Amino acid sequence: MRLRPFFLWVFLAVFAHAAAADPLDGLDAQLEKMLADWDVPGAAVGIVHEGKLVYARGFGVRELGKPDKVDADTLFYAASTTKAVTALAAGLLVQEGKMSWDAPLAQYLPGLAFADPRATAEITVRDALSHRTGYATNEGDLLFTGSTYTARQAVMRFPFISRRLPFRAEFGYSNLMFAAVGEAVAEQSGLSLDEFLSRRFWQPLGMTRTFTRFADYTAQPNLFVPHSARRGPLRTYPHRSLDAAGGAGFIVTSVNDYAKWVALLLEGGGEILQPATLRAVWSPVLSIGDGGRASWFMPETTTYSYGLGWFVGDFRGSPLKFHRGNWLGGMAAVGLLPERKLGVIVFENRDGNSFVNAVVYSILERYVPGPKAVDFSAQFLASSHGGTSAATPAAALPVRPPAWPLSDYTGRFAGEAYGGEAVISLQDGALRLALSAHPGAVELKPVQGEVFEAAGSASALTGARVRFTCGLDGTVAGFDLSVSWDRMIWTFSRLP
Amino acid sequence: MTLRSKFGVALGLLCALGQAMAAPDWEEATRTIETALARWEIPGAAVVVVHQGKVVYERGFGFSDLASRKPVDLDTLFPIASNTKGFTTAATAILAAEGRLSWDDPVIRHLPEFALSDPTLAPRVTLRDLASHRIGLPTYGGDLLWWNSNYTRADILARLRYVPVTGDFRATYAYCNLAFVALGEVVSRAGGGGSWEDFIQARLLDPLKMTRTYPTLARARTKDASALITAYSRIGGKLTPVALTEMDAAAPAGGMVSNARDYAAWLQFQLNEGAPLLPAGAMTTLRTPHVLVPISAAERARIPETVFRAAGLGWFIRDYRGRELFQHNGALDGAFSSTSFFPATRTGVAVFTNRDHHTLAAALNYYLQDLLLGAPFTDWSERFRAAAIASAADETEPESGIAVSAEEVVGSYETPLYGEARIAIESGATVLTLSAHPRERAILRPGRGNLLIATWSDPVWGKSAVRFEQGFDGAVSGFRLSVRPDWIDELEYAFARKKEKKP
Repeated sequence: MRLRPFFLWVFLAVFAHAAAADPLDGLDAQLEKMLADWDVPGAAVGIVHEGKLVYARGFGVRELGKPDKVDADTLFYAASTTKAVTALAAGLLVQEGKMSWDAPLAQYLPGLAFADPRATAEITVRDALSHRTGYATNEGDLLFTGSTYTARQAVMRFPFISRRLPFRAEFGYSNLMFAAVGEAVAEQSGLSLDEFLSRRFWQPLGMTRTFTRFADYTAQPNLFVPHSARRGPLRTYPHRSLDAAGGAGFIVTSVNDYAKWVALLLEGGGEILQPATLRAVWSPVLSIGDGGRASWFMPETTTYSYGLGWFVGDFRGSPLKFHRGNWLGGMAAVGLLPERKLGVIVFENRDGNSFVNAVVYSILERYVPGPKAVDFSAQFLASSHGGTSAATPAAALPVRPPAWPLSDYTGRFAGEAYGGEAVISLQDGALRLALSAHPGAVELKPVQGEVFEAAGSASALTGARVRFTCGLDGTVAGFDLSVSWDRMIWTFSRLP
Repeated sequence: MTLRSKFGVALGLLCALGQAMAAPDWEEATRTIETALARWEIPGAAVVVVHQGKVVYERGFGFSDLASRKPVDLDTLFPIASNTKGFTTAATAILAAEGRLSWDDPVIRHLPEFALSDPTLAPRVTLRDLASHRIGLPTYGGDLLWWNSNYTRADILARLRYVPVTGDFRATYAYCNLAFVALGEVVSRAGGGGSWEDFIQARLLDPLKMTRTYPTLARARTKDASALITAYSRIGGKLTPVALTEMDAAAPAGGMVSNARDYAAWLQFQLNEGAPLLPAGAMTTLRTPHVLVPISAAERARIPETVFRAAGLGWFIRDYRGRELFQHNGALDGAFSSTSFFPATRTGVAVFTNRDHHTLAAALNYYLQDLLLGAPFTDWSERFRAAAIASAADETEPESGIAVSAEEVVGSYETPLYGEARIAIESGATVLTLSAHPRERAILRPGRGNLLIATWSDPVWGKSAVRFEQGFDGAVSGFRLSVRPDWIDELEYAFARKKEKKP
């Protein structure tokens, strides 16, 4: 026991020395171990340093239980790291004088309106790209998740979503707002957002394996398979279209391709982006929470803010630009220390953990060692954000069945905010819920009283809770729908 | 003006109506009123009629208290309920005449703390808006805050900001008591800081020599308790004594108590155009239509003599047989009263009763005004009775079945609009209590689903359907409660379960 601190000291000294010698030494083994520690089936990691892709490797398998290996060309969800692309797509239009960061977003997308006329007039492009519009985190995500809506249709539901946070004072992570900026870019450029990104970014950079359409990437070889442990043990999920997420997270790419995008940013924008544009997206726009003093998301940062499509902070004295993405079955992260010309890209084929944060920080640690080695992987694993957060268990209640025969809950219902209809039917003794814009019906299983849970298939609605509202005469007047990943409560009323 | 000078013009009219106009048969009137009171099962009533500056008819009917068979007389004290509103607007008019306020002042000039759920609306609301039911606050919204509660006037006004604004400002008529509570507070502050009660006493009741009229029930009880009526309500088909509504905190909206003898002076004050307390023209402001009051098809059928109705300031305005009639009703537990006057013919009528849930007092106003106008006889009692029977509430109970259990609902709840509610199991019963109504208790029994039926200890409160709400985790997160929406408060109070304090 008494010797332990001494051995630890020796180990740290040796480790620090090795890191100083070559930051990539022992990285393979470290990442292999992290893959196992985090129970991640497959991942890909890329490091861009001083203009070169100095490290690009896959780990593990594309699908659990199958032999296909992940490599640096394997396609993954870039998910919300797309937001940086969207912000810089808008930046291109700003460079060309076709858009202004500080003009109302609605001006650039005919038909776009928010909860009230004041909101429509005051929400600027800069607000929309910095999560300070007052729309609460993830509200409205159901509209583009597994739905048949286009991004354009989804953002037109904004008037029905209430703005619950104070304007420009609190951070509310709004995906739908980035989809709206994406559509505004499309509108102003006269191209679809897919086409705009392809012509302005992917083609000039030679990114041949970067996709934004479900039909395109699902036809590609070497595509990852989504895994999740959100509901029970880790298992695979089918790919679900991200097309309607648009500018919020529709990019699918590989380490080798995304490294070209990262290199462009690290070289200051090259021929494509002006320095002022990068300054705009990397400058702090909204300070988040306590400003960084307790950020689990970006450890060691002394400031914690959002720029435009980027979280901006610092790491051991260097400005750090960071974003991660999380989508059903996959995650991504990009971390940049522009002053050190260092960029890290991580993809994994599992969702709901902080493996990608841990990898980015473990690699930053190798390039910017501190006085003492920090085991970021252990630190993230130990934090409550390390793995899939367990659903809050309902308080122990006496079990109460639904009060009416199941047939009384059936019928057609209209959802104003949802912009469509719901049909609840009775099949083989069980209630089934079908939403007009979400293909595939789900079974509704009684939970407690008038609360039901959507069970069964791999629909986006699986796990959704439905709460029936009953009139004073006992008739079922409608229901509220909630999915765990969208805090919005979707209200449906019985159609006559 | 004499009749003679207009003889030529009025001849035809006089020929048609001459006999009735010459001398209303007051003995016949007494019989008609007695018959109507018996038919409507009203225990007691007081009636006063003034005409051309004189009291032409005043009489008590039936019993002030059925058990002791104490008769109603001209000194019997009735809560005049919302007829109080005319006193509060007259008080405001006095202050306007003195230049201490203007009807067009924003309320916040006098009550800086005045706030509404729509923050952009509050600064635009004027004293006129307070007195004319056109702010957009819901009908009777928030009345539970004062109805038998232990809240003070300040407590009530502080909660006004949580009453939802549901109507369009100045476009929607919705009867609003809380606005008159605010106006009473304006009178108090603009009047030099004394209470509304003292202002009413010193500036209206004393000079009009209304010696046994009181601004509040508390003052009436202190000075004149023996003259107070026993109040009755029909509960379960039986005439039952009920407690008078406690509403001193909201007195500017309906807390006054008066008798037929005193009230004659109040009617004369109206017909004298406010003299000697108000300058010429001041009454015109109170009698100006400020917002139209829609007339339903049923009301049109009941009173075809009226085609137009509006709210003035503390008074309602309608045309009646081609003339402007000003009127107001007042209803509280066990008391209903009605006032009307024609400035044109200088006739005023008031009818007070010691029973609630009837409209006879209003019907008798039309009857007596017809008598004074010399209009052909109309059986107003039967017209109103037919309408009352047609609109009688269907009291079918919600069905019962599997329902939210006591274990699921016990706990503490709160809403900023009202305060707190508690549900506890006491001697095997599930009991609901409300923080501002310590005397009211309800036993909850199963309805169906998330519906429980609350039976209040107060028979006037009767029953409430309590709609519980579940969170998506299945646990009960709150409930919605209305107390007698047909009578006390149309609002649904949404109580949320109080957050457990962390140890």
